[in-house]
Amino acid sequence: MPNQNTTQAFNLEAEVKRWSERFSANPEEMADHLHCQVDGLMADGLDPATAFIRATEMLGEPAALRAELEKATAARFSKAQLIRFCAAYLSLTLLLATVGIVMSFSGTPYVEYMLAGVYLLSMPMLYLTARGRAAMQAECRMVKKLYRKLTS
Amino acid sequence: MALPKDLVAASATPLVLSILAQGDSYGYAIIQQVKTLSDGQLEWADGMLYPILHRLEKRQLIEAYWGRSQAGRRRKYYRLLDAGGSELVDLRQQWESMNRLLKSFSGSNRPLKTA
Repeated sequence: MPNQNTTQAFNLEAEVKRWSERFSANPEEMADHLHCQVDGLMADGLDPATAFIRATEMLGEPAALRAELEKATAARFSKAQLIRFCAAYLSLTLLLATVGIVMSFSGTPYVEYMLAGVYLLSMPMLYLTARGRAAMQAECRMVKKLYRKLTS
Repeated sequence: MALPKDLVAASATPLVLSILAQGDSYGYAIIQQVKTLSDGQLEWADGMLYPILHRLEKRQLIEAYWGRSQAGRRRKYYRLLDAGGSELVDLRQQWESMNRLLKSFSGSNRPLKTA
């Protein structure tokens, strides 16, 4: 085993964690990458501290990398998603307007409030459906993470 | 001979899709595979790969899932989706037609001047 004492003094695990937490869009993946790179460099004979510094340098300038990662994961509608969203929005509007007209003729009370409620509650669902399965899973993960943070 | 930056950037997507067409993989392994297969000609900055993977995921050409490394660390793996396979076929055709075009000029014309 290379440099067991240095490993203890340096605390590679904590350093990797601290470094990768800067990449809020992707901390665990960056941490795994660093560990792999450090393991490889240590197998070549470097001590953990030097291997860690070398591995971070190989990843590139942190600020630029963070900006690139955030840009890549930013929630933006693609053209197809925008078309899907508009189509779903128009369909829902037409459907609710038709239901509203029919129900108002039959004298149902508070029909406009009910329909407005349905309309508003459907918006997030429409948005998520339009963005597709992968985006929906990403949103769910984000909400879970936020919930864990708020409740811890 | 190291390849120029522009060519490296342009070839990144078809290369990543080609690697994932052979089987699921993760960031570090993909980088190592490119380095080994290109015999060192293609030197990727390590960080360059991750934004590419995330863009491909956003375009739904690949999908990510979490697994574990042998050491027990959480590891993000990527898998090629059907749309990614089709994209790879298109990209390969584009590269092949460019290659054919370049080859069609060599041999028949006068020799290239070298400095």
